Order: sequence, then C-alpha cells, then structure tokens
Amino acid sequence: MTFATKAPRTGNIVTAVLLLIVGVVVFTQMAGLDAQGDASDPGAAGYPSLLAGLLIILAIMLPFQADTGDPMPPLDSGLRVLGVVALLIAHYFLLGLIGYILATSLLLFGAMLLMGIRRILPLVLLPIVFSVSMFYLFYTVFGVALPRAFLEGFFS
Amino acid sequence: MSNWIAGLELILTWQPLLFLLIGTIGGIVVGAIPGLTSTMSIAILLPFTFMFEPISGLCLLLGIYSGSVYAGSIPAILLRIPGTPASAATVLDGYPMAQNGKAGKALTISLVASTIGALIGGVLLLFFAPALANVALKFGPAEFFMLSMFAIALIASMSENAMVKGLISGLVGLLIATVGTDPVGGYARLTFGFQDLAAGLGFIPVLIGLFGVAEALTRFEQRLHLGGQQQTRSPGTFKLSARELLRLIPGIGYSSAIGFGVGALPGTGGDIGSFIGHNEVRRLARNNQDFGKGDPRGLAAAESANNASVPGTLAPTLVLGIPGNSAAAVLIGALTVHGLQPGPQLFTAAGDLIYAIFFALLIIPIMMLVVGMLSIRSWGQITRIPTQYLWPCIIGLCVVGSYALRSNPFDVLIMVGAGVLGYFMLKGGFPPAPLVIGLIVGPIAETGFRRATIISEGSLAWVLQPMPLVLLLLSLLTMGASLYRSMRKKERLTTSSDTSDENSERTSL
Repeated sequence: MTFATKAPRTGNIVTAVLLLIVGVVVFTQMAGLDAQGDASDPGAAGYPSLLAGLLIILAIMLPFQADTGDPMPPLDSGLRVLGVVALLIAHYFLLGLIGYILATSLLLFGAMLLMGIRRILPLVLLPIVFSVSMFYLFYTVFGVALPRAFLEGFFS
Repeated sequence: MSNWIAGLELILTWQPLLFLLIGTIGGIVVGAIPGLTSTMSIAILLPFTFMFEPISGLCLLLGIYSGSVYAGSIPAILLRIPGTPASAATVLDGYPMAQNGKAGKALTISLVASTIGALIGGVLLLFFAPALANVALKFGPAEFFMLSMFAIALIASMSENAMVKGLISGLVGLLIATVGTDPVGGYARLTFGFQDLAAGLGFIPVLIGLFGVAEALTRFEQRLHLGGQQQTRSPGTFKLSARELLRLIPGIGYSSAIGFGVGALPGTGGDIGSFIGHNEVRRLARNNQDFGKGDPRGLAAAESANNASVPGTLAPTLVLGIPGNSAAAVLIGALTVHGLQPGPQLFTAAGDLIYAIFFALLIIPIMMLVVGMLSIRSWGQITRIPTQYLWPCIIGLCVVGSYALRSNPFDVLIMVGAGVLGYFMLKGGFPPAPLVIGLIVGPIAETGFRRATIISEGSLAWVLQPMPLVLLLLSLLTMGASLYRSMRKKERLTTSSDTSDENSERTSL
C-alpha cells in the first residue's frame, strides 16, 4: 500500500492538469450554450457546470493523493500497446476503404505479430477465418450492415 | 402471482433454456481462464444478443455472468490465480487443499457451495426484490438523484486509499453521460460540432472499450501466456460424503446471506462479499485454526458468498436502475438496448421479464451443478488454453461489437478512446467501476436533479426532505468512514516504520 507522503506523484499531477483542462473546457462550452431553461430550471448547462466545478475541486486535491496503480511499462512493452492502438485507429480508417474482412484480417494479423506469434500458419489462417466468420454471422445471420468492398461480395 | 406464472411461461421454453445452458458453459470456460473477467466477457458478447428476444439475450449474459463467477474458483484452486476477482478469497483455502492432494475434493466443494449459494441468492432476490420495488415506486426525482450520488459515493469509498480517484472516476462517468442531447430540454451539449455525438457517446462502445480493449492492452503490454501452466499433482478423490457436506451447510447458508446482502449494496460485488463471508464463518466456527490453510469450510464460505452475490448485485440493478457492480451495469446496457429501462416501473411494464430473470437465476445453479458433475474432472485442461491467440480475437470482437449496434464506424473510434482511457485509468490507479456506474446513473441523476429543483421552484430545499437527506447523510458517512479507515492505516504504517527505524538504530548501536 502506498501513501502520499512517500510516493512519487508525477502521474497524479499530470492527471490533475488534464482534469482541470476538462473542467475549464466544460465550463466554457456551457457558458456559450443558449439553453438556460426557465427560472426554476438549472437548465441544460447547469448540471454539467456543477459536475465540472466538482471535478476541478477534486483535481486540485489529486496531487496530494498517493500515486496508486500499476507502474508505466518499459519502452518495448509501451510500444507494443501503442502498436495495438495504432492498429485500431488504422482499422477505423480502413473499414470504409477496403471493407470489413480485409481490414479486420490486417488488424488481427498485426495484433498477433505484436503478441509474439511467429508461426506463419496461424498468422495467416486465424485472421481470415475470424473475419470471414464474423462477417457471415453479423451480416448474413444478424443483418448488421458491416462495411463492404470487393471481398465481401463473395460472402453476401 | 400472475407475474410468477408469466415469468415461468417465458423462461420455460426451449430458446431461453438453451441460451442459459450455452451461457453457463461459456461462462465456466471464461471464468476458468485467468485474465478473462465476467464483466469483459458480458461487454464484448453483449452485441451478439441484440438480435435475439430480450429474454434469450439476457439468459445468455446471465449464464455467462453466473458461470464465470463460479468457474473463477477453478484456477484459484488449481493454480492459485483467481479466474475472476470474485474468486480471490477462494485461493485462501482452495489452493492449500490442492497442495495437500485434495484438489478434486476442493473442486467438488466449490461446485456444491456455488450451487447452494446461487440458489439461496436467487430465492432471496425473488422474495425481496418485489418488496423493494414497492418501496421504490414511492421515490421521486429527488430520491433518485440522491440514490445515484449514494451509489457513486459508496463505490468510490470502496477504492482502497484512493477515494478521491474513485470520486473523480464517478464524476467523469457522470460528465460523459451529459454529452449529447440533454434529457429534459433536448438541447445538444458538449458535441464540439460532431454530429455523431448528438446522440451521446454510445454506452456500449464505451463499455467495450473500458472493459475489453483496456484489458487487452494490458495483456499486450505484459504478453503473458497464462495458458499452458501445468497442474501436475494428483487431484485425489472428487467425492464428497454426506457427512462432509452436512458439516459445510451452516457456513454455506450464513455466508450466502452475507454475500447476497453485500452484493445488493451498489458498487460492491462478489470479491468483497466472499472475503466478508469467509471471515465471518471463520469467526464463528469452532476449531478455526485451519482456516486459510486448506479448511473446506473456508472454501465453501468464499464460494457460496460470491455466487450468492450475483443475484444480490441484480437487486438494485433491476429494482432501482442503479447497478450493483460493473457486470450489472453491462446488464443494464443489455436491457436498454432492448428498450427496457430498469427501475421500479419495470416491474409493472415488464413483470413477466423480471420474474423470468429471477427464475433464470434459480435454473442456472442447477445447470451449473449438472454441467459440473459431468465435466469436473476435465476442468484442469481449460486453464491450459494458450491465451496469446485469444487476445487478438478479443480485439476483433470489440471492434465488431461496438460497430454493430448503430452500424456507425464512429463508435469504433469511441471504443478505442474508451480503451485508451481505461488503460491509463488502470495505470493511474483510477477504478473503472465508478465511471461505469456514473455513466449508467448519469441520466437518472440529471433528470432527478433538475426535476426536483423545478418542483421546488428553483430552490434546493428538496435536499432537506427526509429520504434525500438520509441518503445524503449516508453518502457523507460512507466517504467519512473510508477516509477515517485510510488515515488509521496510514498512522499504523507510519508508527510501524518508526518502530522498525528505532529497532534498526538500536541494532546498529
């Protein structure tokens, strides 16, 4: 168990600054909102402003708290996490361009590489089987309109 | 009584029963694999239930929830790794039993105690929930607002030595819930010009991100292959004699009642319930010197409490719309997807569905027992499933699940954002549960706050009405008690470190 007196608080300070920014942004957004309601109603802006105020108070208290939680990862592990996030963002942009099956296959292929899998058969087979079966299940069975390109035409 | 019959008619058809069975078996597999939590499994499988009838979808999720809470005991007993957080107390007596060559007996005790605990919890829910709903029907907006605040205060105070972080987490959840159209006047807020945000940050993508992606990111960081761990010692006999069972029954009954009660408090769950149940049974037991060293009564107490807490967490969830824990919050998501708003009105609007859920919680333990008796000898194999193939697939399921509800790629982006937020919350020691509870109760809290103020003609005098005042005092008391405990612990640590410093000085002198 760690306590504020001895623990390093860098993480808490950074988070406090971020929360202060969030609080201020909410305040400014709400100040510009022309929806104050009638005299007895706190309005659409009143409740979020109240929450933002409380958040700012707690953010000021945060640097005095213990830095609990898990330690930040070493560089290689951190890069692996960053890699997965990058893959997910790339997947978002690729969905509309190359369709669900290819985009998801690439996502899984990359994720498996990052997980340390190097055997070529599962690296190729698992992403294809997964994305095709998910497309079939959601598009054909559940009727969900997943993004389509040329490959999806073979399965729908 | 008509709701009882309607509920039975709804649940006793082939489709819900089949989904209950699939869910229970799936839950057992999920629970037995260390690292896969019940909340994460429900969150990523939730989109698969959109297309079913509400009761079938809920049966699948309830089966997964209950099955995984039970099966968390399997790796806890065999590997000393709790399959889910609810099984943390199971390790205390389960693992030493396995070390003493009684793994088979421990697994049987866990199965029997879980079954009885879940049955007792189910019966308590069946009888208490309607009475609680009758009381809750008298609640007005002020009561619901204060109840929401109480839930957040309670769950934040559970964050050991990090109450401020728990409160921040809850507030962020409440703030996220304000994004989009306001529930009273219909004005768009905090959308930053994005049309996709007008309907709010989708609840499902946020949940999938927080519990699915964040957990997966942690696993990618660690790149741990938990599967493949061997349990080489012989499991011994799986038989449990009637005499042995009779010796366990009083503790199971007592611990189940505790587990249900603790689970029913918003923000708590099986993990806390099982520790309290284990501790209480140990306190009252004769010859309790073996507790924590492989006493079957300790194992039975922990397992019955965590399984009884499953129906317990559903009591505030269904009756008040205030989730008992994060898994129950995800179940609220499942209900709202089907257009059902949990709360006291649900008992009149969809009484058959509510009672069907109650009966489902009584059928699941029976299924668990049957499935368990048939396959208990092979469960050690589940813990050996290599997980390095699983996490990339979970990422894939998160993507398709978050996209599926609205067929909107923007939801995938929201999920990624929530996943990154969840990952950094874990790193910073911010508990995610208050955020989810805040997200769920956000609309209830805002509507309650504004309506209560409108009714009081702009004044906040409604805070001084009896029930809101009691709830406010309870919230303050909960936070004050947590603060006091934290300060006491800090003092004790300071004193012990001073004493050890003195001792070392004496030694050096």
